[in-house]
Amino acid sequence: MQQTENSSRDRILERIRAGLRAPAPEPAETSPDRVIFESINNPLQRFQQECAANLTECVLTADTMASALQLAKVLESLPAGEVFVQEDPSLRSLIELAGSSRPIRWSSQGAPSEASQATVTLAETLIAQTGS
Amino acid sequence: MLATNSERLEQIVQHRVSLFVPCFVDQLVPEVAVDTVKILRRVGYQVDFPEAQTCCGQPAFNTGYWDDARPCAEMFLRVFKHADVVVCPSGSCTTMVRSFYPELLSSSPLRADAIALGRRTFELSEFLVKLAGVTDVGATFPHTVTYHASCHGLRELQLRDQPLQLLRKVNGLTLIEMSRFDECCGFGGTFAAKFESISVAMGDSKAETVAATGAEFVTAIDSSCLLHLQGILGKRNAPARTIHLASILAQEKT
Amino acid sequence: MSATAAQRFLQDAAVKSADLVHREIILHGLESYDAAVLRGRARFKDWEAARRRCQEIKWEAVNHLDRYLLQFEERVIAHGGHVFWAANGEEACNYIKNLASRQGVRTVVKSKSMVTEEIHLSPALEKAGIKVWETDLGEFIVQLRNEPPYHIVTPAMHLNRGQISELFREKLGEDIHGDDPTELVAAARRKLRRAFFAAEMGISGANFLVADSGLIALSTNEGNGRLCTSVPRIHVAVTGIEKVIPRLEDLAYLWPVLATSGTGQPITTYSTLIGGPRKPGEPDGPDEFHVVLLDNGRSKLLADAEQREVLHCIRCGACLNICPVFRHIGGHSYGTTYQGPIGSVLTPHLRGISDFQHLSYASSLCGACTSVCPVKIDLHHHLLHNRRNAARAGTTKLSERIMFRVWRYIILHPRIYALTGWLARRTLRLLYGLGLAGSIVDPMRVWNRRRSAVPLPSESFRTRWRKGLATN
Repeated sequence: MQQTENSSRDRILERIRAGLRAPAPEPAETSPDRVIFESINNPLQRFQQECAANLTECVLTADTMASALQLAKVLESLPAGEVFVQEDPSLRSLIELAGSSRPIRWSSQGAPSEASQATVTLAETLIAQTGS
Repeated sequence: MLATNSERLEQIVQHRVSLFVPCFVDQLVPEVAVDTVKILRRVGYQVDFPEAQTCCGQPAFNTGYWDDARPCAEMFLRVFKHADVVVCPSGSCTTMVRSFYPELLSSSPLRADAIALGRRTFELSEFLVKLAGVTDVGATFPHTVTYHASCHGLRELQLRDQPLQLLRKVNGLTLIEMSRFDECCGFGGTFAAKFESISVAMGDSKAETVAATGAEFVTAIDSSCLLHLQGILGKRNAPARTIHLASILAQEKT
Repeated sequence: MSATAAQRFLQDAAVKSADLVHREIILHGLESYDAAVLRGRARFKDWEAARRRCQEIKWEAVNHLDRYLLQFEERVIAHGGHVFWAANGEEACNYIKNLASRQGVRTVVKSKSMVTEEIHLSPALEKAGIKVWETDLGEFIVQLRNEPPYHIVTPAMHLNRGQISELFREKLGEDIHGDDPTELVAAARRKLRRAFFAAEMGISGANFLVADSGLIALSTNEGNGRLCTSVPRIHVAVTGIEKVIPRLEDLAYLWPVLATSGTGQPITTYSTLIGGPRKPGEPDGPDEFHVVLLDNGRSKLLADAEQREVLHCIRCGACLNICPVFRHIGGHSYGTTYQGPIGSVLTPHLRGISDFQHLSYASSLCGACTSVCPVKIDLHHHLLHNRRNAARAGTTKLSERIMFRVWRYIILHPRIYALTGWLARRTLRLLYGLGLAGSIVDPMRVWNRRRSAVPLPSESFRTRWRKGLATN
């Protein structure tokens, strides 16, 4: 890859180094043992609480079939138009199970179109503290 | 910032305090200082007023003229050098001595003296509650009162509850909390003159929150805020009047 | 220029502070903000400890700025991105303009970025014939009104729904009835959707630059940031050099603290990490990724050890929201990119102390800003330091300098002080007795014009003390 032309780079770095020669007063003493966030005893419950506060609908399902049914329900509630789905074997089978009549565009087929109504993805991690 | 135990013991044994009267209190609202003397004597202290005192230097300091403020600070340190405990009916001027003198005199041989004097200097309500250990000063004031938390006292000296503790113990007094009681009234020293329109608009907002309480009086620990607010209320012909905390605490049953 | 910026400020501030409709809109908006922030802080077990942690993180970053910037740069390049160092706004604008012309860019979508406001990027691009769309709803609104953002976080805080509805009817040619927010948002969305898909270049800011992983962290609430940075072919992130933080895990504190202080949210709705252009096999993302690191006066501020911590600022807007001066004069009166207390501290450094020193005085020094700053910048004391620096540099008014010299003489001589006080009170009493308070001959007229006159007792405290009060 071609290098970026950077005529000011070294001058800025030099100014930073010169500027830092005089030390700034350090922040007042801290006690590292202060606990900033409340510990979370029941992460799932907390996650659901946060979702409710964020106006995120969070549905727990017992098995793949129930998940597919839930997904079908959501998809049918959307206005007409394609649905963009992350290319993944488990989502392939879930979409198949859901049996939605929606046109599906898989991420392997390229970027979503402007008129995409929804995106279906997996989540790698759920964050209890914020419902993210 | 509390006095050490030994200092506290010393002054309790001696029961003597030196009075620091801010210049505008001295010149414009002397009754606030008179009332301060009354209260201090009533709770058992002898009061001394070193007459060589004038001004702590805050007007120049806050406007940026530190070179003009510095000799005033040095004079102040000389005047109160031998005082065990200094009491001042102003959060702002106490802040000047305790919080700002060390910075103003950072490269002066008097810096250590400044830090030491800062530890011995107290705003009136702070002195009464924290040092003298009294909240009931035997005052009677049968009126409705709302309290404005002056900025320097609140945020530089962390005086939150002391004035309220004293007010709650005043006979006959009904305390009504105003909304945004901790928002600046708009005085701000030279700010009040340099930015008249902003200062007056802030004062107007404060006057409105005062009026919304329906209280007869608005009180604070600083005469500077109250002079500004009095001016605003007066111009609006508002029914509420200003009164310094010391003047409430000095009232006795007639 | 120097007189103009200060004079304009005085005029605008006077007009706005008397504008009761404006005050009502701002107070109404801030009332819900205040409540949300209180709830937000309560979600922390120890809010003070969180502030301290964030202060420490930023302290570490700013005081080792060269090291962390180089680390960040190295990682971004390793991810296939470009890093450009701009000494000033002109260099930054030129880099982006040249890039755009090289790549045949005709339309740019922007997510919210105060740094691009600071360097006037949009006008520079438009002058080069490029259409620029602001895609943050608030920014979109102020762009339509052809005015700068009113507030660093909430650019259209000064407008109510009715005003926005009217603006959309006029400027978007949309058939909008009433002022239902859903309808207004839908109208803006229709316009912006098209822009997102037409644009060849997306420009964003960056809330944080993560050194150890070469990522930029972006916080937005409308999802527009994600579209800007992933749909167009080219993504350019423009950011100040002070935005770098050492480690990815620092975001565990900075993200919630920024969101809590900014809006009261536990975390901003779209908290995005971007690590370079699209890699083979990835479904979306730009083909090119550029980061523009802007100095523009920051290294000069860095050299001021006393005020270096001003570079800790994470642009949450909390100091604006609590500032009683801001609440009364509004964002536009400042005439600066960054408004409120942080703007008053920062602007003299970025744009020259002689032109913007008046902002250091436009504060009652109440300290409310300092009490809420999530990275514990000692804002109001820095205003005081700016005042001291101005007086020291001799850029203050001669009349004021003389006045304080005379004042000092009086204060240092107790007898003269007592005499001057007595004389002044006598004279003023006489004057006011003639009904001249607040008039042109009243030396106290700036005080007395719009406030009732100060009391003028016949005796000072020291006189009363001597007349008998002295006996214990």
